[in-house]
Amino acid sequence: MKHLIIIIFALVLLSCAVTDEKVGLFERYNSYKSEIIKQKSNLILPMLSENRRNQIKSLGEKEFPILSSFPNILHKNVNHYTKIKNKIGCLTINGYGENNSPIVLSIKYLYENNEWLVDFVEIYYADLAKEFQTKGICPSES
Amino acid sequence: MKFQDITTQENRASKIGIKITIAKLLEIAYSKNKGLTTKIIRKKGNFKISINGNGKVKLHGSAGVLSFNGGVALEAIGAKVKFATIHFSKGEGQTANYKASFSFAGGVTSLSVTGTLNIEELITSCSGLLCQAARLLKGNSKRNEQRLKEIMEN
Repeated sequence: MKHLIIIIFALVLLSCAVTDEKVGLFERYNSYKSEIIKQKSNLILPMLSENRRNQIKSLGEKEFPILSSFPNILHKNVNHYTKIKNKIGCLTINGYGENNSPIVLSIKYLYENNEWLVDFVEIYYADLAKEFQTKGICPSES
Repeated sequence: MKFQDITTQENRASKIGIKITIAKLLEIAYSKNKGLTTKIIRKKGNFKISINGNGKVKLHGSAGVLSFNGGVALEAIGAKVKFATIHFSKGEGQTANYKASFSFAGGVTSLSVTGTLNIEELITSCSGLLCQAARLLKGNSKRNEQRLKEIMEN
């Protein structure tokens, strides 16, 4: 009986983990934007990867202008795609920014402590909307 | 490739051409997103620009990049860039030192350029480098190129 309870408990924990991992990256992106407005802050530290949190604590928020700017880049979303492999997830959003300029926003997330956390961002200013992506791509860090 | 071709390419991809290109790349970044570009080049730490073989340019901030097509700016070099990096570090006062390394398609040659520019002059007024570069981008006269050359030779 004791073993059965342990097994059931483990299965419940496992299902929770899987469910969390499947939380959409686009929903995470929208949550981040909501928190920015709610907290009147440029950065939401708990939603960033552990490595980024440590760097920001060490160097200061001003050294991370892209992380503090990306939620406000797109004024209109067109569509989005995701790519998930193991503990790395990438969200690609096509849309338009200031002056109706076409932009491809790519965000790399890391799955840490049962949630997707922002780790790296690429903001690509396309010349034309035909450069919009048709699949999820991870931002290149090099 | 004939010797004459190599010489021609080296002449076209001159150090001056690279300096002008750096100014134009900064201007394009600024035109895409003035606020973000300003924050990246003003931050305390070093920053970098990289270019790949497809002409895609990246302005590297910490934990992210602002990227765009180098197009018009890369034409100033007169040779196809295979890859390039330009490292900017804090200089004295409000200046930034830069060190650029360019490699060209075909592996014929590569060039390195160093220089200094005034970051505040770059971004604080329309008499600064970015606005001058913006105006120069619209024209293509030798006089304009000469002016930009003077700006980057500080």
